[in-house]
Amino acid sequence: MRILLFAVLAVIPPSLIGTLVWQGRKTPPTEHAPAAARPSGQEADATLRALFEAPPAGVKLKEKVALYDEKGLFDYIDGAAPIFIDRHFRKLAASEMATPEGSDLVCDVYDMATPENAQAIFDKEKSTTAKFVDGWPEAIAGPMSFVFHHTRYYAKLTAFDAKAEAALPVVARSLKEKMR
Amino acid sequence: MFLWLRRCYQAVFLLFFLFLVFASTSQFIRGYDVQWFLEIDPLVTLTTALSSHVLHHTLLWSLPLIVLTLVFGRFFCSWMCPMGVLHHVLGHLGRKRKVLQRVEQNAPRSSHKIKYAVLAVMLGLAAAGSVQIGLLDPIASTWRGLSVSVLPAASNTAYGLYQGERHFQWGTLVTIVFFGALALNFVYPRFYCRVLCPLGAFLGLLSKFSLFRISKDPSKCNECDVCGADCQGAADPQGTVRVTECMVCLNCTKGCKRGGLAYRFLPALKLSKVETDLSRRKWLTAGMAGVAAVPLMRASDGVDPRPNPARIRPPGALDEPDFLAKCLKCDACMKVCPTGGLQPALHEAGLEGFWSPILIPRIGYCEHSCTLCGQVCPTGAITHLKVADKVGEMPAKPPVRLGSAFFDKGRCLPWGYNTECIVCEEVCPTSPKAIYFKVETITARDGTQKTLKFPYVDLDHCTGCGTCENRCPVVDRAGVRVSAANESRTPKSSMSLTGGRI
Amino acid sequence: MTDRDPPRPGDVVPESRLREGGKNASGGDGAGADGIDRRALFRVGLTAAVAAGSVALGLGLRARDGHGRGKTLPKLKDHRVDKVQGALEMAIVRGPDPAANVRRAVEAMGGMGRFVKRGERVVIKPNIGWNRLPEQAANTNPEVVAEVVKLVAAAGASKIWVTDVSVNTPEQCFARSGIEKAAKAAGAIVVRPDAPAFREVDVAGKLLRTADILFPFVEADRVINIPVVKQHGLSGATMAMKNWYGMLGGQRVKLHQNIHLSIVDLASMIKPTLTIMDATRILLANGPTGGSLADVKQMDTIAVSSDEVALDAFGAGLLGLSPTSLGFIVEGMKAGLGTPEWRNLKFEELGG
Repeated sequence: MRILLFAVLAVIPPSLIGTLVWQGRKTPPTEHAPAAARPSGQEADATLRALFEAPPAGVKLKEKVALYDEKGLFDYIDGAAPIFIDRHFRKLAASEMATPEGSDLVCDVYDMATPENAQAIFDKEKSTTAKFVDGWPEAIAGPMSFVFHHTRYYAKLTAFDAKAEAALPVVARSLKEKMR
Repeated sequence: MFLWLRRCYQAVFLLFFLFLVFASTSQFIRGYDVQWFLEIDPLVTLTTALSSHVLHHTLLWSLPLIVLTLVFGRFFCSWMCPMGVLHHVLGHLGRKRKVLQRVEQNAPRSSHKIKYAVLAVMLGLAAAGSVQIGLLDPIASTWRGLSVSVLPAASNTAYGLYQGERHFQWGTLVTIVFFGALALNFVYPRFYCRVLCPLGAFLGLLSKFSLFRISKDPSKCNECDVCGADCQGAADPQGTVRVTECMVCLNCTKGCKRGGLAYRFLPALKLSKVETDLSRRKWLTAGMAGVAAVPLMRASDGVDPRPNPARIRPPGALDEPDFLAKCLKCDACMKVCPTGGLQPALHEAGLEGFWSPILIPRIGYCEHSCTLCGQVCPTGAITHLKVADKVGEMPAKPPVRLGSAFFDKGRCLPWGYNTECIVCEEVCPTSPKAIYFKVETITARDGTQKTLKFPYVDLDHCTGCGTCENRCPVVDRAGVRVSAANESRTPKSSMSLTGGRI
Repeated sequence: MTDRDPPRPGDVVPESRLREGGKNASGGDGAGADGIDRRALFRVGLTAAVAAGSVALGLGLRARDGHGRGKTLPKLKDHRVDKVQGALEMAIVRGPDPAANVRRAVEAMGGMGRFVKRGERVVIKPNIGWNRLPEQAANTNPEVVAEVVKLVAAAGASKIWVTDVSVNTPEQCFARSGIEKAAKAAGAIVVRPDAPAFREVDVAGKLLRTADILFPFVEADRVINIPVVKQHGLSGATMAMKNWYGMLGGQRVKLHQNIHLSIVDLASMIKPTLTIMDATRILLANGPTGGSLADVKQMDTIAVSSDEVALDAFGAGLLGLSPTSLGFIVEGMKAGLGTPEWRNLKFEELGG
């Protein structure tokens, strides 16, 4: 009985103090600084990555999202890089996804720094005969591809078979919902 | 075995207290509840509730301690109280060598009743609206002694590496009181705890109902008196154990070699003494003295109607009567203030406000986006402002004002000496700046024309932070000084018509 | 009779007592003719040692020149690198990513390796003067600081200090500006302006003979200035040259009595290796403290040069001020620190 009491009493201070210290280590919320017109590089990277969290319709990311800056862009898209750089592109987030059936999807989102730049690259890349998606004037659906721009982002989605192609608009819409 | 547990508890809680004191700086504080010890202090709860008629939510922590004391007795004094641990250690060092001499040292004395009178006075003061408990409360006193006296001295000796150079006005008084109390242990052990401590008195009163107590088995007692040799509370274990004095240190259970003393559940009442030895008349007299003291203190000047211009309160402080009804003078705000500008008042807030916090801009200014004082205040005397509310957004939302800046044109360099300066304008943190300048040409002593920038204060934007006074190159009495006029917490203090109140 | 009692008439006094002369018998090893000599020698030696020691101490501590103990003060080094014929003298880069702008600008100037050699100790001086968030543009952009630290590290520096003497409380300025975290993450040693970090330096300036200066500026081999571009009530603007206020301790607010000359005095005392001007966000009004986002303009520009006057003239243009209207630029030119006509330098503008 005494042993039990001793044990109980011995445990109380460490657990009490431990809880208080652990709780305190979480820094109190600092004041909310009004966001600047354009976010800093690191914040923007984090926002960009966050677009790929929880893809819809059972689609999963195959690997971690890769970020490319100006230098890396040449490695990724080679000769097509200058048209992005000229329009002040900031970062590219390139991802590979797979549908539940196992079909591959490639999803590239370009952070163009401003909505004007995103519009500019969208206009530059689209063909003159392309038609906008019904009810979505910022998006164009082509064979095995889906391209759209929203706020400061420009997204290019590519599929490799019919099943994946059907998933493109769904994935695109979910990305658009997250773009601010 | 339980004796060693008690010693572990003492060490652990003292270390925890020291950790909280050390963490209480703008660099280390994070979200630590640095005032946890004051939050569990039932006297803080009781007095602030009496005087302000509301209970600050964090103070509900004291209820578990009240319940535990009702069950287990006055264990707090021996097991958890940081002041108690310090006094226990010093009392141990100051104890006499021979056993019988120690028994004499730990004998009950009539002076041990004084703490009940102190408690009654404090409760009387609180009932009439003035909280003075922090002056004698052990936890507030230990925090104050460490923050205002010991740590600044240590830090300044180490080139200010802990918190920069820290100086507190008349901090020597705090030193004297703090170390004086500790030195009394060389008169006899736990002098403060037995004679003065109001918290000990309160917990002692609660112990009257305790279910567990030290009790003596008369059949085993041979009246050797050795049990009283190390009794911390002077609870007379060799006679009838005084429950209100017993600190549950358990030393007597080890002292009695015959096993005659034990800490038991519900022992027979006749084996322990429960009166406090303070007669009802004495209780009433002390209480009434406390109550009467309040209007007597407030009849003197310096608080209302002629507020002292140096009484600049921290940002988020309540209006003065409410502030004095809650401020414990624990000095936690002064400890955490990043510039060291919050200082213990001497006369600036009247006798009632002795050792309460005021800002002395020449020593330290109020950082524009800092609200740490409100974060650490245990009673809510300083409310925890949101930075956006403190800073405001002119013209729609005015900032929280501590006071206003006034130029002393006889001392300001451009005004009084035709010398270029405007450091005040440079460091003014508001946007738009509350100090602006006008460029004017004057004739210098030698007859030449000189163009200078002359500074002015815009009262609508000035928050009274004191950065200007702190940085003014006129090193003794600055050329621009802040006083408490126009502080936003007191509508009557407003100088302009824009407040909507007269 | 014990050793302690004085001898009474008729007592037999042992020889040992005779020698002691009444004092307590202690020490030494007792009787013998040699004993006398050894003990006497020891006593004489001890007295001589104490006497000699006191004299030596007194002579050693005596005041010289009537000013107390003389000591030589350190001086500031010349941190400049040799000019290379035909090299770029100023690079201006614009782009949305501040770190990328810094990289491109430094590359255009010849790469950090031209300025920092392997094993050298470098101090990087951003503006960490004010208790503000990065968006308020009162301090240097933390991403710019981090990138400079990375480039210096890649060039092989053995030690990288990042420091400034803040006006507001240093621990809050270093934290809220984001610079302490960014610099530490990039591998720099962040030096807080505590009292032991200052050294008294013989600066031999026109207005200041000696000054208290942070130790990295005394000990480093290379110095890199990273100012931010801001409006300033007294001097008009605060950019590269005025950033040197941040190495001073003591009552530097007295310098405001002659602001333009004191700025130039400071810029003459310290000869930095390179200046990287941060114009990612600039403060157009209510400087140097700022506060409101309405006073901030996003310029997304980095300018690099060794000519501080030229950079300050360029920065003045960004603020909408005429360079020659700023006293410190005119005085800087007169003092031979550089030229406000930055377009006359060999410069390159990159980016949109």
